[in-house]
Amino acid sequence: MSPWIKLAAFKLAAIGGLSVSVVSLEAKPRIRLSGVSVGAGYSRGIYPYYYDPLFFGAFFHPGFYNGFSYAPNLGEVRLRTPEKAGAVYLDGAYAGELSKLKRIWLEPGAYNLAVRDGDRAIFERRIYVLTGKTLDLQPTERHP
Amino acid sequence: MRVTTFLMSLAIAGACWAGIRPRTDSAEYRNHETQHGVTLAAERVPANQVRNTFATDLTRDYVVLEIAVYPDSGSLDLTPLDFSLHCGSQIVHPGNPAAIAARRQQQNAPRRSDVDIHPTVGVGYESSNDPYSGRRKGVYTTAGVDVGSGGWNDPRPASTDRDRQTMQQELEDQQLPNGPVRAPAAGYLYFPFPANKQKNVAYELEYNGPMGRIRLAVK
Repeated sequence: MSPWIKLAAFKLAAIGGLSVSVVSLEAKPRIRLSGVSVGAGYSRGIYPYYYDPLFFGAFFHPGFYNGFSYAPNLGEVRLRTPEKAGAVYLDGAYAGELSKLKRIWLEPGAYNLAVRDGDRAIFERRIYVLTGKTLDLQPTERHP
Repeated sequence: MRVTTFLMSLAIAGACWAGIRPRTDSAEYRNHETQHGVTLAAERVPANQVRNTFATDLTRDYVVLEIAVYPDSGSLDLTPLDFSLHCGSQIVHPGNPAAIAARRQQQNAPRRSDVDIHPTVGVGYESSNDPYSGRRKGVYTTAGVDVGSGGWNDPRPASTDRDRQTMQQELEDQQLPNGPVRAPAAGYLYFPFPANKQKNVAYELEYNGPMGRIRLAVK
């Protein structure tokens, strides 16, 4: 039986208050950086209105002010190719130009990915996208 | 009638989709054996190739074999359960895609002991009219670090139900076809690592189906 580990979880918000919670855990902890939010915002309004940093701070709304810079529920598809010409199709629908689609974030699932230059098929493959996983593809090679 | 024809064509299309394209000749596989009017060919897929081929993480717990069957004439009724992998005195049968996907999802699911760290910083410009203090405008900054436990934050990689369905679909799509086969067919089978797995251990694939028994050393 693994020993009990006591872990203190500190929650800090610079514009808000400070809250500390202590939880007891029994397994070896896995630590991960779940994301970093950096951004800028603009707001214009008329006071007075109820404002409390507890509800409106960046702590509770990562990305609220700065746009959702990363998508936690999606999987990434990277298209590594020196080719610039070509169009990317997902399940038969046009997704964009190959030169601009180096990274695609998709919902988990199975897709038919195709890269075509005019009528010429450069790359066709059925891909399987999983949450938080990165699929590296090299569209120069043909795949059944 | 039309509906039946449509459903039949869908079933045929589904059957054709399963598995992968067999190589033109069984000799292109590292190991092949012809007996009882059927040629069985197989080779072990190296771990780095498994990583590139599958989105599902199979390298830790499974030996992946690429298997091809070339019936000389007539039809052959294929099922993954006809195959087994011998490793010394141990015998393992191929894993079921649904069970493998469920196991992977369970392993990836958040645990109470997980710790997530999420720093946030921001800068903004604010402009407002306050009837009490007058016009307010200026730059504001925000910063924070969020530390939590128990997987409260974003879903862990490949841990959602949608991921499980996708993993199952991937494994089923690429598995050796299940059913009657008239033409060469190929696909992968996922054998759990035998207990006390060792490096460079000798594996032997056994087919024990309607066409008889074929044993094949797999490298």
